[in-house]
Amino acid sequence: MRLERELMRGAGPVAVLRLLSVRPMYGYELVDTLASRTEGILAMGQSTLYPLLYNLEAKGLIQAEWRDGEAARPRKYYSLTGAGKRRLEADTRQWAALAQAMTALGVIGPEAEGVGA
Amino acid sequence: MRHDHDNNRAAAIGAAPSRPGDATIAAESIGLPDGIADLIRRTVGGTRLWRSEQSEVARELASHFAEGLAAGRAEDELISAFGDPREASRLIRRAVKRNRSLTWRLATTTAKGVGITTLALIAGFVVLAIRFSVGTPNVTRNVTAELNARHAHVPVSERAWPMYVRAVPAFTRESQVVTGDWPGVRPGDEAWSATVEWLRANAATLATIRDAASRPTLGLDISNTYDPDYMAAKALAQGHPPEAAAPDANPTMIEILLPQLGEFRTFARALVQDAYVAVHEGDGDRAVANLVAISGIAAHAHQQPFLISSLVGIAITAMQSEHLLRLLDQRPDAFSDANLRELAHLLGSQRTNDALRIDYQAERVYFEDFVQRAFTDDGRGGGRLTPEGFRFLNSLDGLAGPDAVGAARISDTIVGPLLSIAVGNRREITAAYARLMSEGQAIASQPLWRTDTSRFDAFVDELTATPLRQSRNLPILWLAPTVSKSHAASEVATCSRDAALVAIALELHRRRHGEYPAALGDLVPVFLPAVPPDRFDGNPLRYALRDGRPLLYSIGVDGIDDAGVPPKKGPRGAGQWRSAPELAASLATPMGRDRHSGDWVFLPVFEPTEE
Repeated sequence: MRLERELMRGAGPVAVLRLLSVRPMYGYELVDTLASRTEGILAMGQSTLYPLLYNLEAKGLIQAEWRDGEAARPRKYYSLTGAGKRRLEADTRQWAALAQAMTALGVIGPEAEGVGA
Repeated sequence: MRHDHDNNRAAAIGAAPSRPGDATIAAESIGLPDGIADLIRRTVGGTRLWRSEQSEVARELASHFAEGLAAGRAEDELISAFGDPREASRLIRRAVKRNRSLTWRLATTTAKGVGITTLALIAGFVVLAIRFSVGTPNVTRNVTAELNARHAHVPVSERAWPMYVRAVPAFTRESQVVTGDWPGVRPGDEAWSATVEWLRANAATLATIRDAASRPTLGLDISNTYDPDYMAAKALAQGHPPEAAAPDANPTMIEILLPQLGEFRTFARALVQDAYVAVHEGDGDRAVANLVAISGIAAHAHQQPFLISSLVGIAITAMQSEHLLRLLDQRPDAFSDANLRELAHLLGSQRTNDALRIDYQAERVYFEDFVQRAFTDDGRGGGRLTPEGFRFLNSLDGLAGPDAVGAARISDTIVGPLLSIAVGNRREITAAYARLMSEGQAIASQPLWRTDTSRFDAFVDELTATPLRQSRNLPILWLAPTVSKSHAASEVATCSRDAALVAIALELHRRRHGEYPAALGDLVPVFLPAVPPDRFDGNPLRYALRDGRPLLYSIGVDGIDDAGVPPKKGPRGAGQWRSAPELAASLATPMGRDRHSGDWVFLPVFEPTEE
């Protein structure tokens, strides 16, 4: 299942920030990790990922650094900035609140099991 | 050289660089399959970013695909997973541009704003210029014909103007002896014999002028050119005819010629000189006839309802009063009691006729004529400034005008359309001008000492409160007459006339009682209906006896009673009205004090040589 475009637009940045909060990652690694860790739900093409990364960089939430010697070609690693960490914390709280609200409404959680079945 | 090198490397990997950035992108794609290299080239090339930015993106995408291939993924799978390269180009371009410096983004935004604004302004101006250039006035009124129609019923044979014209040829260069700036010759003066000779030689001419002045109607058709008889008369007088335009059936008011005004001044001076000669020859009747004729000339000046005509009429009346005082002073015995009574009646009648009146009615008509020629007509009183109106305003001020060349012409091309929106519309400025003239007329009905210009001044302030308002009312501000000075001219002439009336009454009193009265009140009602007020403060004209001789004066423009002591430069300066600020500035200087600080003394008469 793939997320609708609007949902992806909201979830993509926080998902990337979350992955980068663990350790710096390069583009292909981010695409691969997002797809594997979310069973393809948050899989995004490069045409989406790289603009997303450049936008986060423009906002000062992440920073980039080329590193040589780890592979045949240099890799461009992205890592979280201080501002990125704060944004992730804020976004995490909001997503938690949203999940809680959706659970309360039965959109997600046990009550949602039969919906759409 | 650099491009050739890059293109060679691109050719080696099968890419087809066609734009300057392609070589850079190709260099980053070396070692990748052609399909992926092409995808990178299309994606990055489509961003149209700076070369350094394209290189960075190409490098990252190449790294990405290399990672994919190294992970064992097929070329087609990677290309498919990439997504739409055109969408990617668009999104990448937008995102990378956000990473550019704040300075660059500000400069770009500003440049865009300036560009858009400039284009909008140019487009707006073009529309405005077209709208301005197609505006045409709709001239429906012929003011010249309206004014001429007022005397159309009077037969030419009964009109004064043709008679005046017959007098014109006599006033050659040689006549300067009698028509100089300051008439008032006396026996013993250097010019006496020449003056007497000229006056005798031209006695018939003076009789013609007196006859003309006795006609009720001037009957001069106003025009933008001179009538043939006048042209011929001037040609005889000055050796060549005056320059004149071709006649126009409906000329603008500014083109109207008023030849009579200059002639009237000349005639009046000649009559004054003849009055001096007459009193010294003991001929009071001729002196009175000349003074009566001067009143007739002044009345004729007033018959054309232009402000300038009124002002000339008033100036001629003032000259009459001034010289009557001097004539009475020099040779009172030349005048019989009947002469004096006739003169008193003549001067007294000026209270009721329009000899001293300022009328702004024609100024409104003049403005309405300008408006009909300068504005479009929407049929409901509205309209906007036309190119013709702009050219007219140009002719009034320092704008370059239609004959200008180069920068000045370009400047006018820009100014004209802008002025067309800056100037108020036809209805608005016509109403404002009418109100201004109405306020001016209200001032003209007040005596000088009670003149309240506050309403007029407040309205002018309203018209000029902001630069925008000044622009809206530009034609009004440029065409409106100077109300205060015109009113003052009328009032000062009235004061001079009143002094002359008092002087006549004093002489009649002396003849009956053998002495001058102790106070002016003693003249009332036998010799004077009432003691006239001093126009500068509203109190009675000042009077005293000094060594048995009358001292008669006004406190003058400075408003201070100096007990009959005139300014050092003579009394005339004390009778020259100045606005409060002008007076303060003048009195602050020694020269101004010598002219304006003191009383306007009528009796005893000061000879002009003392001034």
